[in-house]
Amino acid sequence: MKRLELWADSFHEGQWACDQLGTLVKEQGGRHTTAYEFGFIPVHTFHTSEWSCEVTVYGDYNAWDSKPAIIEELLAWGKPDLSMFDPESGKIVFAVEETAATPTGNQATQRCERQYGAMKLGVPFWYLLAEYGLHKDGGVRRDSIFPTIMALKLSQDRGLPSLVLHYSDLASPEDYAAGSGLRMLFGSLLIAIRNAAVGSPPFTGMVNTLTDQYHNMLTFLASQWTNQLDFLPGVEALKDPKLPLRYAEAATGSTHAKNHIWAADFLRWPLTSQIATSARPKPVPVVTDDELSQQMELDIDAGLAYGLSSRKGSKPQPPQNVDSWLELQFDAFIRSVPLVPPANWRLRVDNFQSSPTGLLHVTRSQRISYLYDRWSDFVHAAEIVYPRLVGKLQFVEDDLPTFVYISNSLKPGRIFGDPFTGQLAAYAVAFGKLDVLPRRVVAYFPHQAHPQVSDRNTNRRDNKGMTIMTELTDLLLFGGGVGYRLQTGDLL
Amino acid sequence: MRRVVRVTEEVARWVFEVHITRHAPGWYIAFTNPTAGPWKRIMATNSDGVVGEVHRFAREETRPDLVLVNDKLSAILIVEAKGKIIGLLSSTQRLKSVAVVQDLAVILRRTNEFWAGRQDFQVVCGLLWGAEDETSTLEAAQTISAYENSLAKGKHGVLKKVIGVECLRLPQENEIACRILHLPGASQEDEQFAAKLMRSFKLPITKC
Repeated sequence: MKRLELWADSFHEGQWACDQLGTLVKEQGGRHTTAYEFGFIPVHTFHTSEWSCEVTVYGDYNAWDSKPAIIEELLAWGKPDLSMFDPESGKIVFAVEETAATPTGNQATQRCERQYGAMKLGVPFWYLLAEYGLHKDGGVRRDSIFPTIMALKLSQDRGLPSLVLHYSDLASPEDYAAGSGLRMLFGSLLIAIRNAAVGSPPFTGMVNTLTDQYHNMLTFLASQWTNQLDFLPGVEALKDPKLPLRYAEAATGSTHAKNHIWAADFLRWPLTSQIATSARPKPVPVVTDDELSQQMELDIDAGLAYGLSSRKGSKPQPPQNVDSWLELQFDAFIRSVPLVPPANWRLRVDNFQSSPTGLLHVTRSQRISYLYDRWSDFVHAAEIVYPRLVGKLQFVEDDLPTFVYISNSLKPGRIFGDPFTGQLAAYAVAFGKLDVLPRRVVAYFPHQAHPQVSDRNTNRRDNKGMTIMTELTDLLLFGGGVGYRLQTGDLL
Repeated sequence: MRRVVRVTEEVARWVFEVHITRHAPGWYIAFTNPTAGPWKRIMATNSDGVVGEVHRFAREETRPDLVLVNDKLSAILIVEAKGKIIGLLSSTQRLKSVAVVQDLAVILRRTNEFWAGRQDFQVVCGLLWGAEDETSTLEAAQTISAYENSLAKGKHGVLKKVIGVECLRLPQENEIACRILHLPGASQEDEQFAAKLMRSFKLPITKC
């Protein structure tokens, strides 16, 4: 009998997944039994007329030694809730992230680094989350489109299934039983297990179900993008009834399907020069006096860049927290190794506007994404604002389009964890890091001090944020105009 | 089979849950709070045997780690779990955990279709921890005593006796043994109630 290992964040999640699979097996006339090795390690056995499989659940990744090397590797990119490992082939059959969190704010994108990590290791990935959630103000909110866009782009570009499935509906927000996502998820996982059990290629018999899943993703995107973006490139492609099938084929290795989608220019963000002047997003006022944000808005006005949304804002923070975080940032900044030329940077509480409740707005720009046509145009903006950077950013030979991501994070260390790591991964992929004509990626942290990249002994930190940033960014830009190239370790 | 090397909070809670489900008839798990997953609700069965929601924790509401119910004993055990007993001992943690138990005890005094008849059940505070070495009776006594003292200050109908559960990793591969620890000294009535409750878990019992 085929033996697989289900590695899970918690035993409950592993058990829940196996019970869902067991229900499907029984519906198909098969059997599902559960035993407990050593009185607590669940061993699930699935029998059908065609195949049998034994799945041992290992809950809590941190509790076990001799974890499979590929599981360790996957965890370095972020910890998925479920990872099915095949000890015989040494491969991960699939990974799943699922969340009960309300899809508001950064919640939905904060797990996207796991999507990226799975893709890096060639692991099919499903992300199950609520389409509708109850906000604490009592209203119903709908999920972000960015995990879906990221999954579509990874599927097409990397020839690997990467899916976002939704549960819940408007009448039953946050209800796992509502909507089609849960059933679709476990239907696909069961096919993947069967393929592993009978030794078939991993995507055998999966195109139809994947087509249905991509159809749902595209339908969601079609109905939701106008709430989050000023425009969606190649939006006409959403009318193509064969688009879901093309994604399913691309995700299972068809180069023809992959090229077909590229040809439709779907989700390929154009250059500013390719957008009619009347259709270009207009500059918006920045909330605080951050000069680089202001300069980037001027560049939008000059036709060098564009932004995609102007309604972003961070949660206002208590003044005492802002004060203590700024102190910690400043302490870190002045402990820096000497910079050439020197940098000056100090933010104070009165640099932040007060909200009606007395909390402080920490939002710098109303956008968190700027798309420049050329790296050199962004470099010019950075040099105007931070003259110390003159001559330091010409380290690339090409002059590719550039995506600038801004994080308003203030708390020391937060940029390396949730939600910023996942958000950066989602946006970098969504806005073109992996496109045929790729965009370079700059992450701008105006409230953060650069020495956080390394510890006091100048050793680089080792965490999933650093892993993702090293992989996906070309430049980190910190407070005071201090740059960091993680690929080379150069402090600029 | 892989080898467990740490009895983390997750492992300790799971081991105890599996034991309860398989070997402690009368008890059922009304709520569990694993590190991840869609489990935010206290659930129970109504008189027709239908399972339904008794209480849904708000997003920012502090939750216990386990809620066990025994209809035969008319008892509810609200458990705080940690990977090590030392994690339970800090005053910050203790005050937080005791507040969770007391607040939930108040909530569980209300009733609905799925809780009818249980609103007067005796609420008991439980502490669960993982261990690599056997917990000394002194350390267990200090911890349990600190919780009992904190509970004594509240008037929320929580039994003034705390039940400890240690999940100890044994030298043999993947063997984890649970036992109950308690500190005698409560009123005779409370001790009698607690004795019945502890015996019902079908685990070794150690007096601290």
